[in-house]
Formats: sequence, C-alpha cells, structure tokens
Amino acid sequence: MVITAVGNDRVGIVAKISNAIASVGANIEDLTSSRLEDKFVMLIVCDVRSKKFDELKRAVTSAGEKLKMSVVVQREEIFKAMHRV
Amino acid sequence: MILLKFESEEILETFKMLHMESLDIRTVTLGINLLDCIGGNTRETSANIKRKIRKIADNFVETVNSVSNEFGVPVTNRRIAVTPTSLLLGGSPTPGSAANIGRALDESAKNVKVDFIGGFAALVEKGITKADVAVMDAIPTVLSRTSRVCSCVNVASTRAGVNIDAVNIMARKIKETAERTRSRNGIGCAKLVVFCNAPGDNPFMAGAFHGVEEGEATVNVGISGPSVIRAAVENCDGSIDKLSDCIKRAAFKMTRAGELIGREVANRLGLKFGTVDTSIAPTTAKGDSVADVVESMGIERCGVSGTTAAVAMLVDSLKKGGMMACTRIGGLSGTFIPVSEDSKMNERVKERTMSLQKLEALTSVCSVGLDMVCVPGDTDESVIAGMIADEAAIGVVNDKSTAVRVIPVPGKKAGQTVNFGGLLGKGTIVNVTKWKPAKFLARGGHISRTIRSAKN
Repeated sequence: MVITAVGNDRVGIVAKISNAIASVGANIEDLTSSRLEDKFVMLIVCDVRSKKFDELKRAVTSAGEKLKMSVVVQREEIFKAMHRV
Repeated sequence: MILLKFESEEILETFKMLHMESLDIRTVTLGINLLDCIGGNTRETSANIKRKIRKIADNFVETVNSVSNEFGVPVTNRRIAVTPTSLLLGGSPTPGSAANIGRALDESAKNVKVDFIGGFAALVEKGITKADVAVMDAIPTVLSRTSRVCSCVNVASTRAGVNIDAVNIMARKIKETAERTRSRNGIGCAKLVVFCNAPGDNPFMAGAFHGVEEGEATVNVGISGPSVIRAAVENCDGSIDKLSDCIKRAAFKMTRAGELIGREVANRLGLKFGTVDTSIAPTTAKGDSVADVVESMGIERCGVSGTTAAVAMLVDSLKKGGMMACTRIGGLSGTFIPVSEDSKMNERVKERTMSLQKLEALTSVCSVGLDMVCVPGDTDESVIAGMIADEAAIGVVNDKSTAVRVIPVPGKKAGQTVNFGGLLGKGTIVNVTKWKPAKFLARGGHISRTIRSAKN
C-alpha cells in the first residue's frame, strides 16, 4: 500500500501516522517526506494483507483528521500502471 | 529522492492529478448481451431481461466501489449498456412492446442501482424494420416515463450512407420527446442521441449500447480529465509538437488508470474487459472544461478561428497517448464538447464566440458533434432534421462517429438559459435560422455511401 499524507508541517506527524499503521499490524517498508506547493507531504510504502485494507484506511484517516492532514491510502498497482511503461 | 518502489515525484504527481486536477474515471459501463432473453411474448422477454441483468450486474456497483476505494481513483458513474431493443422484439414489433421492454430496462437499472441504462436503440442506417419503427415510435413515451433509460438511433454509416427517412423520423421524435418532458425543460432529449457510425462499445451515455459484435458481457471504461490535460498544457511551453507531447504523456497516465480499474472490475466479476474510451469528458466544475483546455493552448476564446486546429491536435495527442497506454482502445475516443455540461463552453456560447456553425465544424475532429445544444422550443422539425443530416454527412464522408443530442427547450427563445441540474449543467438557447431545409429533406430516401468507402 502507498500512504500519502498532505498538510501543514507540525510536531508528531510521523509518530501518529506510524502508530496508526502499526495498530493494524502493517509493516512500513519505506518512508520519506517531500513538499507539494506549500504543504508538507509524507509518503509511506507499507505491507499489509489485502483483507486489512479497510482497517488500515480507517486507522490512518482517523490519525490524519487529528493532525488536520489529508491522508490517502492506495494499492501500489495504480502507481505502476500510471508511471511505468 | 527514491522510495523503495516508487519515486516520490510519481506519487506526488498522482496525488495532484487525483486531488487537485479532478482526475476521475468518468464511467465504468457493463455491456450485457440480451439476445438470449427473447421469449415467446414481450412479458416473457421482459422477465428474462430483468433476470439476466440482475444475475450479471447484481454486484457490479459494489465491485466498482471497492476497486475505486482500493486504488484511490474516483469513479463518477456506474452504468449498463445492453443489446439494442429493436433486436429484442421478436414476433411483437409494436411500440407498446418496445415501451414494455423500456420499462423492464428501467426496473433492471433500479434493481442493480445504476443511474443509467443505455440501449433503447435501433440501427437504421440502411433500412428500417418494423421493430425499428416500434422502438423509434416508443422513444418519447419511454424517455418521459422512465428515469434511467437512455436511447440512441444510428441513422447513418460510412458503409450505408445517410438514411434521410430515419433522419426525418428522429427529428420528429426529438420534438415529441421535448414536448413530453416540457415541465422539465425537455430533459428527455438529454437522454437521446442520433448517431452516425455508432460504436457498440461506447461506455458514455446517452449513446451507449452493447453491439451485436460484442461478447456476452464486457466491462468498458470511459476516462475523464479535462483538468488534468489543462494542467499539462499550462505547464508546457514551446512549440505545438512539445504541447502534443505533454498531452500524450498525461493521456497515457489517465488511460492506464482507466485500464487498471476496468480490468480489475472485470476480473472480480469474472467478465471480459472490453475497451477504454480515451475521450476527455468535461463536467460543470470550474476548470474541468474542454473549452478551458483549448484556451490554455493559446486560443483567446474557444470558438474563434484556430479552435478546430487546436481540438484536432488535442484529439490526436489523446489518441496517441491512449494507444501507447492500452491496446484495447475503443468507443468514441476523441473529446466531448457537450455545451451545457461544460461551463466554459456554455459561457462562450452565451457570449456568442462559440456558434452552432463552429460546433458543427468541430464535429469533424472530435468524438461526436452537436452535443447538449439547446435550441428554441419552436425550432422547426426540418431544421433539426437538417442538423442531424449535416452531422451524419460529416460522419459518412470522414469515416468517423458523429452525433446530435439537441434539446428544443419548450417555451424558450434564443439567448435564454435553462438549468438541467447536476452533470447536465446549464445551457444557453442558441439562435437557429428561420430558413428551412424542409423541401430537400421531405424528398426522403438515402444519401448513398461515398466512393472512398467502397474499399474492396
């Protein structure tokens, strides 16, 4: 899964989103940060069983709401399809 | 900066396209063959249709929603296209029977929770059967008494020429449909398309039907994305060649997203994936407009000289990017220019920089033609027939799909506006000439195929 969190930079973003991911037993494979226009962006690739997709989405979306961030969870095939020939 | 599997730029670009440039899949359309539903009488046929659609499409909407959720790609519409009704009437080719089938289609759409079902259709480019007459006669009744049924009639093709008798009938049916839906500004006509060279795998309403050349059931996808293309154009300096390249790259990504969604839906339903229609389709949302794309290229106002060339380049680039992305490109694969559904296009019509004549010229380079164009309610039937004949002639000669979806809004005059609501948007009534092509069209008969079409 690929998780994209976008919002204003603030204390605790990595901790709270990571906790949410860990709470459903998902393993973070990689994590990086970037900027989109004037917003802070956190990008996470994590491994989770497909059955737990909804659970993961609920957990990180809820964490994102508390941080006032927009959080998107997507299966990684969409990135392969759109960006790789 | 490189993540384990993807570059962060790739993820950010996808995020921008989806969340800042309104990329969505405009429609996932399930095509279903109904030929095996023909029973001994209309009641039996209707029951068979309802049973079959429920069997195949019961989990369709739920499946599309799951796939959309997992890939994070919004899907705006979930629809069904079926075998043309005129082929289903069997031994009962009457308007009453056709209307009953229309009702069965409407109920089926409600049963499986899709907002539109297409295929109340007849293919009359060469000849007209009793069943075709029955379907055409029933169109005003069906479109005024059902909420989810869409209708189309193919009156011309490159191989058959233009059936002027059918053109005249359809002009009459458009007027009747407008009158039957008078209290809603003639909205029934928004669900009625008159085609030339109609494809059997078009996923877009109102012209979708499941062609007889198609399989038992297929999943076709229509992408969207004028905003994405506009963003690509705005960020692209340089020559027209460079501009074309920028559009191709964006079209590639959009088409790939569409194919992924379509294949996944088909796979989960145990059905065949059909095609991706690469047409960009506008919405009433600000910026999600084909007119905006054209103006972003450097045309001061969409509709002035240069617009046709710009749209031709746009469509060519969309096709090339789309075909690189997916071998199964189908449907109309051009660009839609529905006036009321494209707020900037409607604005240009209102200020008269975009005219009926220019929209007709754009037919030669885009997906269809006079689409969601509002004309005065008292427009003569022969003038509407003339519009259809002109569009059909362009389609026949240029071997492409063309169509007319025109709304003679009852009680409205040129310059007035009408609000259809939702994705159908607001339309400005265009000025239509009082001079009529009535005598020419009343001759009836056929405009025959071109010499160029006799290829063997």
